[in-house]
Amino acid sequence: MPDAMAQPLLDVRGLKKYFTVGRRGTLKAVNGVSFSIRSGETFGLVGESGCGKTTAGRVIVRLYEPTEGAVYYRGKDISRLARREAAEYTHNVQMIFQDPYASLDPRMTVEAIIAEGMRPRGMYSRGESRDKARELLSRVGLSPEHAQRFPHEFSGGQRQRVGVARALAVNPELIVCDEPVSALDVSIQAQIINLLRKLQRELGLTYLFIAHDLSLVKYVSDRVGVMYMGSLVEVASAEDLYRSPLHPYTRALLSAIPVPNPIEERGRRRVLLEGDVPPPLNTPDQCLFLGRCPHATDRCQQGMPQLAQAREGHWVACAMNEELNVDAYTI
Amino acid sequence: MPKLLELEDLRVSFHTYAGEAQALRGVNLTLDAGDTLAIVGESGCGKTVTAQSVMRLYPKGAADYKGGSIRYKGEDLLTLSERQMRRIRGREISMVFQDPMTSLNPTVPVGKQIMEGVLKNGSRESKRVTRRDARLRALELLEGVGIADPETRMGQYPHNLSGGMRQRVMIAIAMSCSPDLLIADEPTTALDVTVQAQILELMKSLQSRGNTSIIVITHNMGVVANIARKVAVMYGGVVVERGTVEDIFFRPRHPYAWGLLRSVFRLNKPKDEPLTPIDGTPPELIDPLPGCPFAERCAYTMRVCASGMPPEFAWGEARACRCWLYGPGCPVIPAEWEEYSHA
Repeated sequence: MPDAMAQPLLDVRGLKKYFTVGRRGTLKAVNGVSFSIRSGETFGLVGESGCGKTTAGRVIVRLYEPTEGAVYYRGKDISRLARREAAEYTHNVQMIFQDPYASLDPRMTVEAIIAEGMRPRGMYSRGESRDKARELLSRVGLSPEHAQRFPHEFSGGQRQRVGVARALAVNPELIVCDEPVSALDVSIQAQIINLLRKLQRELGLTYLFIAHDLSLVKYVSDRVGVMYMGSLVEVASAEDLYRSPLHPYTRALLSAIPVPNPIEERGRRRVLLEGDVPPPLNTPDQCLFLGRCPHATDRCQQGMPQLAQAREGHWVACAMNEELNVDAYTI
Repeated sequence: MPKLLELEDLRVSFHTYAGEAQALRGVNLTLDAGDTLAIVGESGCGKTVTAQSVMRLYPKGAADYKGGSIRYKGEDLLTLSERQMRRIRGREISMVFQDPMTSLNPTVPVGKQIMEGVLKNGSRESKRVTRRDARLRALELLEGVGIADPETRMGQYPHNLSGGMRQRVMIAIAMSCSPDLLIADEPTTALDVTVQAQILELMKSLQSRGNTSIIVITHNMGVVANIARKVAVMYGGVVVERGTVEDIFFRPRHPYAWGLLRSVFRLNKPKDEPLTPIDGTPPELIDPLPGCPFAERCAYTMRVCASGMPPEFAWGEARACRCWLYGPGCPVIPAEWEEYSHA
């Protein structure tokens, strides 16, 4: 999405990532996604499982090569970086993973896990990196005395704190948080979210926040993109998106979240979607939400609708957008 | 109304290499016929052990039932033989498991998996069921749980179905012998929100059609608000508070319930307001400290909290709270719950 304002920190343009799946064809995990993230903001990416949000995040941290399209970081295409610049990029862009049990090496001490990324850069000597690791531990709310312990000695929430410390070790600018709390208990989730927000304030970090929990994404994000089957169907400021969602899928998604209030919950009008998300294999060239959409017409079969600005800062990819009565709908 | 299920002071332990893990430390629960009870709490608090104990799913020697009783229609399930239990499972009480991917048999067509229970248990009315009857019953069940084209689906394997459909099949199997009690252990946790909404609607409609009582185990307060009429909040192997869904959401009494409700993300939560997590981590099950399991994380800990497990202080038979704040001689009861009463 072109942005008239200052150069964004990260600019994703027409990103596609396809996987070949045996003889059955091509899985279009990410199919033409464009968005940009400004320095210091939190951009949320939401959608149901299989919608391509994690794949998009992984392309951004260069765990995958894009099939088509490009990711620009401070104006530079990240798949055409010279070796030195590429090393620089990995320090600038870090990732926090979903599963704190699988993403820490069980045979390394916490200190070694945190210090591992600092070494190749030659920034710190062995002793300095040890001090820095201890400092990071206290920064994320663990005690520096924990440095010599192994991951199995920690609870899930504490492990995720170690994951955060590891990401911070190389002084990144952008952190891709891929479902950072979905494996944790509710009371612990809030601890990690508060920590991430505190670090953002203190260090001026930029986040790409990937999650399926809409109430959480709304709370942490400045702007939110909603993905469905590999495409962005709506992008808007968090407030705008939740107050007046435009895409029928976003509306259904919002109305499907059960509200933690029994009286409100009983009085709610639900947009119940039929069926499940079809697998994104060999998809036809039409609106991919067509089969489940309550407002579908013939026009929706004529190609996948592109994101278009419906109003200031609010983008939606829906052929029927003009006709749907937006104001009549509230959640 | 008679109680369908009554757990009294249920204590269950597991013997591990590290020592005795006290999973349940005196669980009290009641369920009326036709009611829906939600059991909420964090992982490791004993929700699933409670459910699996009611079904007596732990093989002899794996779990140690140390005390208490599980009375179902007046009969203590803990005193039944394995043979008598088999009469209860499926026909009287059935269960839907959390993970529809691993709880179906991947090598057997789903139709056959549904027919299995029907053939084994017979229908309610008559003992003898032919394969033909069972097939018809399976088709009817698949249709009842909202699966389109049940004829085709009958012959398909679990891997041909999506997660939501698999969970529908699980529910069809659980409903196949019209049980009086359905226990659903995190039935929607592995599913996406749009599919979760469908499954919750399905469970509510099944309940209004028959007179099935439901126990839902979940950690999602939104799901609780959606489906439950009664709620039991578990922590550290005990039910710390129970009451109606309105009691728990608008007049919670236990400090853990306050913390739980405050740490839930809400859509209307202002961005500049920090979340209020519960500090610390859940208690150890092996060699737990004496006293209230929540004492370590509680903002209102008193000296008495460390000395002994608080008893249940009750207000009527359906409302109780295990917290010393309601004991005799407690100086002031903090009015934290009042912040919920306006909601």
